[in-house]
Amino acid sequence: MNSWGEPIHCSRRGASHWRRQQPCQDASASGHGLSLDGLPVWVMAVADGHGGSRYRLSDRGSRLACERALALVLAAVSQRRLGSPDDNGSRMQWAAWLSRDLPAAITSAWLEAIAADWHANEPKAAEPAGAATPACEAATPAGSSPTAGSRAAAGQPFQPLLYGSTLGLVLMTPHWWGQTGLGDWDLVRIDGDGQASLLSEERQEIAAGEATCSLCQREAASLFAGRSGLWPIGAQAAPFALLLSTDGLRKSCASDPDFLLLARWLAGMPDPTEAPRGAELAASLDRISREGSGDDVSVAIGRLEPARHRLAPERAAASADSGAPTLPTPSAGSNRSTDSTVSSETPAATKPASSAETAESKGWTDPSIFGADAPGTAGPARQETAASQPQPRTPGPSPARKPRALAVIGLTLVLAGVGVGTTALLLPWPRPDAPKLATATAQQALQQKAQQLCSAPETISRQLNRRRALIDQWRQQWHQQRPKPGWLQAQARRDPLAAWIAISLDPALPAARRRQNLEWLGACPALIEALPAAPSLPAAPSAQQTNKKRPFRALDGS
Amino acid sequence: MPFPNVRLANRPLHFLYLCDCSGSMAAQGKMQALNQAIRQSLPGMAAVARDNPEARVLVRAVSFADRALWHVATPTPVDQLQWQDLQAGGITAMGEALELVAAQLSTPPMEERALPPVLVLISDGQPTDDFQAGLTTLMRCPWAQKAVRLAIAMGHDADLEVLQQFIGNEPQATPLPAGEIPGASGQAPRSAPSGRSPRRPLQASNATSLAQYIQWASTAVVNAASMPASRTVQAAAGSNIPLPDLPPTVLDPSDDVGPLVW
Repeated sequence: MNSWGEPIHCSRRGASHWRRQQPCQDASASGHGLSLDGLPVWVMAVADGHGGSRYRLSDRGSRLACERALALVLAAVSQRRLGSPDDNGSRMQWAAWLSRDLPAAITSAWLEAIAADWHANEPKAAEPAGAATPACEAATPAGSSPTAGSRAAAGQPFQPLLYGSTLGLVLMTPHWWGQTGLGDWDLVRIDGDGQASLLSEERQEIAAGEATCSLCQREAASLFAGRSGLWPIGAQAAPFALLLSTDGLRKSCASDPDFLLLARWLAGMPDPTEAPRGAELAASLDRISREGSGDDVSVAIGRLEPARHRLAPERAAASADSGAPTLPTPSAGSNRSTDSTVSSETPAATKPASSAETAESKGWTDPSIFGADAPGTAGPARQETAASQPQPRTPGPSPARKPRALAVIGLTLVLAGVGVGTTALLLPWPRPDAPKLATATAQQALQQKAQQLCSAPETISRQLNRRRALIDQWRQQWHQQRPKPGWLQAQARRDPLAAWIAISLDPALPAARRRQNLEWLGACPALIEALPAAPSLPAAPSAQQTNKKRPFRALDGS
Repeated sequence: MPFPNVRLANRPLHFLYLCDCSGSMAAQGKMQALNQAIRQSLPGMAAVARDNPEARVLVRAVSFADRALWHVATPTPVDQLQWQDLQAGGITAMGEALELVAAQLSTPPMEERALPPVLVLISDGQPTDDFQAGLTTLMRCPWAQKAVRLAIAMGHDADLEVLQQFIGNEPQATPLPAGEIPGASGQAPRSAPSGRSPRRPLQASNATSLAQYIQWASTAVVNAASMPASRTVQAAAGSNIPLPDLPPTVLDPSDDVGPLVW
């Protein structure tokens, strides 16, 4: 079953808002729940309150939009079954719900919420009969200028216009994911090979220039349909990430390719451990606003983990067993008592503890997944390693954010011919308290080379052909002599493509496993297909078969 | 992983003057007043640009007489602009000027992320070429549709209907939010405009009021356009940029700012 990591989200006040002493009018949120049939569901949302004094309460409008949308989604999914992965009828019902029923519920709940907020927080305002104007366009034009805005603050009747906001929402389930909303948010998908594509944007024909669709419009519910979609996920889907952002992010980039590159980096693709989080994410968004549009910036990022990596599967199992929805337990390390969080701003400078908590507690990377099932490890070896779990040789900071680097370590260990027992003694398999080993350079070199080749696939075969002799040599050599520990890392620094070749030739693993490793390390399909990883390679005798020549053990004389 | 090598950029704000340089502009010191007004407005515009670093204010100018020509062809940062005096002489190729601008309002050369441009048309007379063809060409450009289009009529001989067409039709159904200047629909107004409104041609009757309008366009308008707040589709109908009010002395006909000389 596919499994989503916990989304991260962050909203930052834009540089121009700081300068003009305006609040952050963006908001973002994420939450987790269970469907009626016990499947885990994640939801994330961003909202952008309109600027200007006509919309002087839009910071609250955007926050309420995220809050209510999440509450509605999680309540609804707890009452429904997701069905089986191949249940097309169910998916069509969910698609209709995303584009029609949910929008109606969201707009209605939002109007109720802002009315309640108005009555709770604007006690001095005059309240003429029938003042609950249901839509933006019915509002009086007062307040279009700064001076008029100050006039409007005193004695202004309640109007949804004051709270005007966009809303973008993504719902993620094991079988499908879908998006809905209205306004000028953007949704980007970033695949495991780093390819990013803009999946959804507000069409220019609907809202040109700086104008956008809004929850405060009379026909708001009907405007969701154009931004709604539902996307099935295959049973063994490759990892990918979704980045939902308010317009401040895209408008800060010189071009769409820059925006997609930035989205890839923010989403941590292909390596999620390299994604900025917490204070780093907040600081990055600040920089983006400062050097870009100056607007508020919000992002919410979800990631589909590899199918074999399940986060807290016991939750779903427990719920499925009981046949009734259950409340999810708070994430480890989190002191939240609820299953959703909403932030209007994640202050880095003013509230560093809060920001760190926000992002660190939302990280999608569960360090245990690498300890349980890391790429590059054969089954038996993995089990033995996990069972022995030696203490780290050197204490260090938490490496939980470096599973990709640790994966390289794992591959290195395998390739270096260190037997299971030796592996356990020399280099501990990744776990939360494991030390960070010096593989960053090698890892970076590998990934840079992969990016370079994948951006120009026509060059791959030419570059491989130049190493044909090397490939042939290794194919022969590795049945008699194995590289020494550290050889792969050194090779990666010296000739990253040679290191990719070595990984693809790893005789300890079956072809499918080698391919998985290549994918996991960031090779695009073009590179994988070109590498000499074909099943026709001379098969090395496996440890289980011979129990004489364990892969790589002989090579360092052990 | 370090911050990626992406191009973050503030958003360019293109400010274009379209200046009538026909022979009639030589009379009564209009040409001199226009040159003076633009030159004097530049420090204020530069100050606004400095206060809004998220916008990159770039100025260009077109002059039109017998032919339309780029007077400032390169988008020039306002703080680097050295205004060279325009010279009057010839007829009024206003339509050609619009076509000249239209050629620059497609993407590229316009940047994808540009702010809605500001176009200021200044004229004291009537076009002598095919104005409608020029306007049609201009309004085919999405950037022209998004643009803030202002028109200043110098004196009472200016063709207000033509200038109104350039600005666009004033919405009739909803009252005008104070101080907001519409983007135009490109359609001709259904009736002749009356009264004063920032959504109609601004009538400069002397050098002082001309300078005020130019100053307002180059500072208040630029300031508003530099950081356009997102807004609803309805609020933006016919109005792309919410702008602060015109100076009271300009809006109030009883508060004259100088002798009527044009």
